[in-house]
Amino acid sequence: MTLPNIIQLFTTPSNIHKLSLENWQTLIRVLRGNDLLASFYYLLDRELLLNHVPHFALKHLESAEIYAKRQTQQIHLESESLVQFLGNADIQPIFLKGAAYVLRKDINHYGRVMSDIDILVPYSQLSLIENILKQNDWVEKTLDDYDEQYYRQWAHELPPYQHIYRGTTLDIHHTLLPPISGKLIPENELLSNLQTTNDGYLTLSPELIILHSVIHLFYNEDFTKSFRDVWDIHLLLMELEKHSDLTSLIKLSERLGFSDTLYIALKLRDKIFSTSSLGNYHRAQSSLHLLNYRYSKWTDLFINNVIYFAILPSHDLVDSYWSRCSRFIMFIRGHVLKMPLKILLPHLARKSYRYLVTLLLGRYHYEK
Amino acid sequence: MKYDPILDIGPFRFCIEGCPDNISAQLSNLYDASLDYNVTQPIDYWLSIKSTSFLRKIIKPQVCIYIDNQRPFNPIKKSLLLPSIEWGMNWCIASYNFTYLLIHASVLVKNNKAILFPAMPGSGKSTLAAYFGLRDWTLYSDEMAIINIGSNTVLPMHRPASLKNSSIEIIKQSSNSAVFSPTTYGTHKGDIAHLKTIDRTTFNQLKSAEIVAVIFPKFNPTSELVIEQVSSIEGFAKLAHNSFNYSVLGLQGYKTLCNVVDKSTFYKVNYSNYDGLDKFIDELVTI
Repeated sequence: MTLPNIIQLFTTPSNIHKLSLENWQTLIRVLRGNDLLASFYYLLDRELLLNHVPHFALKHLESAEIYAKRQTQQIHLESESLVQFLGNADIQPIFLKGAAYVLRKDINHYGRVMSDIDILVPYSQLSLIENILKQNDWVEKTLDDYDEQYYRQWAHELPPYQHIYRGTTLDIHHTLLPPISGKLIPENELLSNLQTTNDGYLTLSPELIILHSVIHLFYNEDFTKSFRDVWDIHLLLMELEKHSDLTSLIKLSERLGFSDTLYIALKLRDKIFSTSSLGNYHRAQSSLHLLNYRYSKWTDLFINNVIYFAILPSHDLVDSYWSRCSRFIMFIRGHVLKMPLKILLPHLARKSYRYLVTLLLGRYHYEK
Repeated sequence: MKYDPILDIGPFRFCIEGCPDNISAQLSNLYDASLDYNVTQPIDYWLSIKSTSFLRKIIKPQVCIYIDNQRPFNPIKKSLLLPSIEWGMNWCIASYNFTYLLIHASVLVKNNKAILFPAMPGSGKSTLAAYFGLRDWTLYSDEMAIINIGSNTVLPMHRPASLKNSSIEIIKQSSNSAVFSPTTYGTHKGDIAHLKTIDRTTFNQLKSAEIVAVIFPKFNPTSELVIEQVSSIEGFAKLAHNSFNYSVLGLQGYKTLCNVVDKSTFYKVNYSNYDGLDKFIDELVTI
């Protein structure tokens, strides 16, 4: 069972007919390691293939599905409660990422597991929302002073909050990318095209939801579980393509300065899922932009030979030396993208110093 | 070519990848024919034991247990590995399996009727389970009751009991023929030893047993035997609280727990020794 075999199952799920029990065993482990078990369950469900899954594998897929279903229910519960008590203070949270997929019932939400709920509020409401959360059983997760300062000074979100009884984690964003990255998305771009779900929840526009997922993936530094995001992006694009072509998404990315990032996403999507989104991209691009980034052979070389290997499912059973290298290169790249060097270098120095101290004195040295 | 031990505990199969030879030998001692080196059926969960770094292979050897891409526990000294493998197996079942209702409890069975002993650590439940498991009761599990969804029956697991600190000596003295693992000293839960209570041939005869009673034990060295019946409402709440996955299973979990509660009686028991307690639990499984 090789990585290409596994990827192919996502485009041609009927290939499961060819799997031996040993193949299934490998597949279950790789999917589990990449938080994809329940998503794969729903893919097979949509293709009416669950009858063809051997008992051994089915019990693992079903177990994951039960867990994911419960999480979906929890998202609904938490969202309802948030909207209610924040609404009393005239704050209307905009749901992002996993929670938005669930509330919009996007196709990728089936089986998608997440570790927290993300919301966006205008910058001006940040201190208000913190007060309201504290009055409603949410507390700031304890961080050390340096991490706290990191969030407050440089990040695009507040330090995470946690519900004292239910343990749910809440991330409160005021924009989509750390301001320190130098990429500033004007607040009105985020807030002017909101959509309301059937149940009355606010989310970003479908195009912005996709772009956010793309930005989140490629401005990230940890690529060990990134295939879940790749799968998100692919399914969301498929949904968008049902109603329109990708022109509006491409225009939006260009306006906000993320053409390059979208290009990477579309190119990789085509490569992995045999789609042809890039044709669309080239037609929609303004001629001004054509000369710069995306026709550089170096760029394509980097995408095909580094990013591609970093975003594939990771697991000891399928990782190669090169996929590990690629993830390391992307780790560095993620940091460089997010922070200018004059901030990054002291940050890394600080973190590695702390790492050394932790090694020597144990991690309790820094914990209160 | 070095083979990794595979443990077939009944409902689940584990592979311990990279298991050091001395630990494999200890596992073999506890699991007898449930341990195999040949893959004959697919394996559910894999614990992969790895060194934390090259340096740590040589100086103060330290290892980590990885479960696919997860690392649920902090690195440990190589000498503390055996209890961590047992905890890692528990972690897999509790984190990945939602096809059974799991309750943190030891399970004793006689006449194909089961009694659950859910309790907080330190209540003496493992000692109690080991004590009776070595006599005329069968220990279905000393840590986790595996309840079939939609029923009030519990499945057996072929696993050793785990004993802590002074319990180790108590049980060793109460039964001199029992098979023990070497004691692991100084884990974060204290000193740990594992005890084999059943061999594989006997295990193969076991089947799901009906739960007839739930006992919340409390060990108190100065107490007389005090048995107090508990309402099924309180029993329900306590079982739900001690369940690993009740909240995840939703309606299925609720219905299953209702089955268990409807057909069981509940007791709080304070005890300092097993005199009298043996007669009491015997009566619960005799009609």
